[in-house]
Amino acid sequence: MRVMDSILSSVLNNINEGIVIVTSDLKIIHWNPFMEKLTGGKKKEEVIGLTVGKVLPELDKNYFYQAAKQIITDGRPVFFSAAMHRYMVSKHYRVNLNMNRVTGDGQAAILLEFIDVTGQFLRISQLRNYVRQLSLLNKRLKQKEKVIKKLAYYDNLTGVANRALFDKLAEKYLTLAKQSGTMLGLMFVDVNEFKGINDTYGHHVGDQVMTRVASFLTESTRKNDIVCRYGGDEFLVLLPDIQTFEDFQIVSDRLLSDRQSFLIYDGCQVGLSLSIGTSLFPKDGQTIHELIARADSVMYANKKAFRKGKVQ
Amino acid sequence: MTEKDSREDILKELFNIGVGQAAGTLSDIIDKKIVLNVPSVKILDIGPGRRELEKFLSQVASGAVMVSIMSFNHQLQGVVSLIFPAEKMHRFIDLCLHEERTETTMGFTDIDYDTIKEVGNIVLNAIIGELSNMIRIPVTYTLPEVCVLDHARAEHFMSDYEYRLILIIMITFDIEGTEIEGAIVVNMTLKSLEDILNAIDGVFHGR
Repeated sequence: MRVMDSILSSVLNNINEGIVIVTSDLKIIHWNPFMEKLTGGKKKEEVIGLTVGKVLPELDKNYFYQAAKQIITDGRPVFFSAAMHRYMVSKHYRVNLNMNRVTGDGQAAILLEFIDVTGQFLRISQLRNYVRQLSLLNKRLKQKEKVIKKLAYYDNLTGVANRALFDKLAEKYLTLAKQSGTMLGLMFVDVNEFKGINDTYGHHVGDQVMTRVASFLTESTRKNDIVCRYGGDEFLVLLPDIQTFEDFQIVSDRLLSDRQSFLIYDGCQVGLSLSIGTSLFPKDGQTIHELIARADSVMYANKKAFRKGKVQ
Repeated sequence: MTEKDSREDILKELFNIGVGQAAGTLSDIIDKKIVLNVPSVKILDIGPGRRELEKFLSQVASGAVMVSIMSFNHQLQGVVSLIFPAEKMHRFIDLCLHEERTETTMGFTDIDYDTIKEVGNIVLNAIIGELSNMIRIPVTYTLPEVCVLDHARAEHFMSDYEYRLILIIMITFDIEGTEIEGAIVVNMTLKSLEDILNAIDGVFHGR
């Protein structure tokens, strides 16, 4: 029996977790070497006979005493987690605590097992950092994706749709118009004397003119109409879901009445005017190509009239 | 009021006392006010028990659940499970730990499991403790095991062979205004439940 006692004592002293045994009045009767490590050097000789709450102040709590009482009277095991009890043994180690009743010579005592989970906390913290970084990276990628999409489908200078987006949407809206029996309007818009503006005031002012025209077209058309910079000083406006000819005329009249404006540059007034040609599906064509060609030829006729009027 | 209703009401009162004490302990530990309440208790045969549990799982915990399971034995024998809807547990654990996690994509960590293990230990101790005290028979049990079940079914918490009757205890947790509805399922041998019902009848008839 003595040999067995000696072996058991040796097991408790060599086990890789903190083992403390306390009497029913919570006085320490066993304190293994691993506890010295966990507590930062509290030696067995210093703590034997003291109450556990005095040696480990984090356990000097009402709920700990209630749990100890419960263990002694009913033998119900208790668990305290390192997560909810941060500094149970010291500031350097995070430990879980299992408490169980043990008996010997008819006496009940409490076995406290302190299990070191510091490494677990570090690994989880690292993992959380990785997840945070990945989520940040993912957010940035999504933002970049948005920018790339914008570059691919929108005109860099004016911010309105480019030709690629126009082609995509024009086909879609033409199909919808055919299916629903509605009309699809198209406007071809060209800036009069744009070359002259560029030559007189420089490309910088030419760019401002383009931006001003794009804003004018966007503001003058309906929310769902598509304004597109088709190339150079040419713009196209697509007007989907036209129910009656009057719907189309309201938008087109608004553009035609406001198409003359000016831009102030360096104290000078730069005159701005637009030539506009319109076409309407199904009256003027069955394909987008036919509608553009029709609107272009009307626009060209208007431009000619504009030039003529200017010369006269 | 039927005898069955009276028994359930007595158990409800009893468990409310137990979880009230558990709430006090939890409040002390996490340093926040936590209120636990048992709104209903049902004693059911396996068939109706399964239907009742399926109803709870589909209404409150549609999807994954987090469970603390503990076996007990001695004269009172059975298995007890504390079931929470998993989707609310990150918030609940954060409140317990005074933390605010920023990442939402991670599942449950060992820290989360340990937190629920401690909460489960306190709550289930209160429930089984009350039953044990009622029939004045000591119960021995181990610490709870915690797991997450992605598609929980009533069968996960019930066994047709060993345990013939179940107790379904609805429990609500209120922690700083965040309310979580859970259920405690106690599977017991017929003998164990008979002991409890006899003890309740003793209370009811003033014996």
